[in-house]
Amino acid sequence: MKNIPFLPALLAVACLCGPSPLPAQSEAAKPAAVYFAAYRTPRHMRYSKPEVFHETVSGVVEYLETYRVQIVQDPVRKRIETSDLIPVATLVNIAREAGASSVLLLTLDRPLTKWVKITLEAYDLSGALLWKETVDEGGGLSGKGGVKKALGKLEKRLGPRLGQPGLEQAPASEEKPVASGQ
Amino acid sequence: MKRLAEIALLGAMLAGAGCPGLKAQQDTLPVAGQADARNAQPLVRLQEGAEVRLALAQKVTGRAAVVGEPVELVLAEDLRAGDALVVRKGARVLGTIIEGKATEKKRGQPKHLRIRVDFIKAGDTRIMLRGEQEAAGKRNKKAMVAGSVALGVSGLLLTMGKKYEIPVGTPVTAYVGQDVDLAPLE
Repeated sequence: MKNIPFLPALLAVACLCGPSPLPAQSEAAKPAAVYFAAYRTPRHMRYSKPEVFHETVSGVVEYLETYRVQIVQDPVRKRIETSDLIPVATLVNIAREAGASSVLLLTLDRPLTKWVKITLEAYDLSGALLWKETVDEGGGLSGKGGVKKALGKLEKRLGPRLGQPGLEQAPASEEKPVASGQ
Repeated sequence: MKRLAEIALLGAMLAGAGCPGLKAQQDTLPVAGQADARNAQPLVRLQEGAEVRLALAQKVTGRAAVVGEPVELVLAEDLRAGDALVVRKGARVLGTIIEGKATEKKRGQPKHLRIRVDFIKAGDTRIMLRGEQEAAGKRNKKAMVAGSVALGVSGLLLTMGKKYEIPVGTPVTAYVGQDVDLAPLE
């Protein structure tokens, strides 16, 4: 006992204790993610082109990604872009399994008097509708540019909803340093 | 000096008794026999050829079904290997359109509509299946009568095309494609 060196013993005890374990990340701290699916109505299939559908889907997904809305990647198939209606109950089950906290369903229609009608609906995991936004575009003599105008209208309507259930945003990353001279 | 060292060491040892890091290590050390019991849970074998009851979780129509596109199905009944429950009812099942429209741009109905069942998604495991479901084409008799009355033979020819549809909830029977060992849920 008299010959035990003090400092090494203290270091040994310190190593044994180690830092206090950090509390496990709670479920609430994980950023919520959405499961995104798109549907094209029979009218749109009859009177429009598939390229318009895919262009609209890409535009909406790009907007969501720009504003840090996390979209869950389905592990067994690519993003649902279908012309056969999938019931909300099925989408909710898929979303739950994929780890999402809500479902975003985009519906593209071609009404009689409009070039395009875009509806975006958010559902929670019980299948209840959280919110719904509908925009359309019917101006001009042709449908060119109709999708872009409709997407612009949709983005304005979605802006106030960012951060709410159905459009939860991931935390912003650290700001990049501004380049010198700017 | 030496007395001080002894006191300091004693104090450190007493502090270690309440040290959270040490407690955490103690907590994570497996209890004798506990880890062995978890690993020793026997797997059950789901044999090839076992019948699996499924249902379509979406509508599939000839006007929209493109060859190669995925189809959503669902497990209609609990799947058991003997008496052991291995997959619960409602599990996600994926299939594929194997006969339908050649491309998305094609309009009108295809000549046939058929889907193939691929696998059950059970957690991280895929249970491979085999099975198919075909849609029977139906003619719209009312439209045929109206077309014939209005336009004669031309009207009949215009309206006699078949439409193909497999509604949501249509039962599909498939079979396990290969032996697979699974941990029982009950």
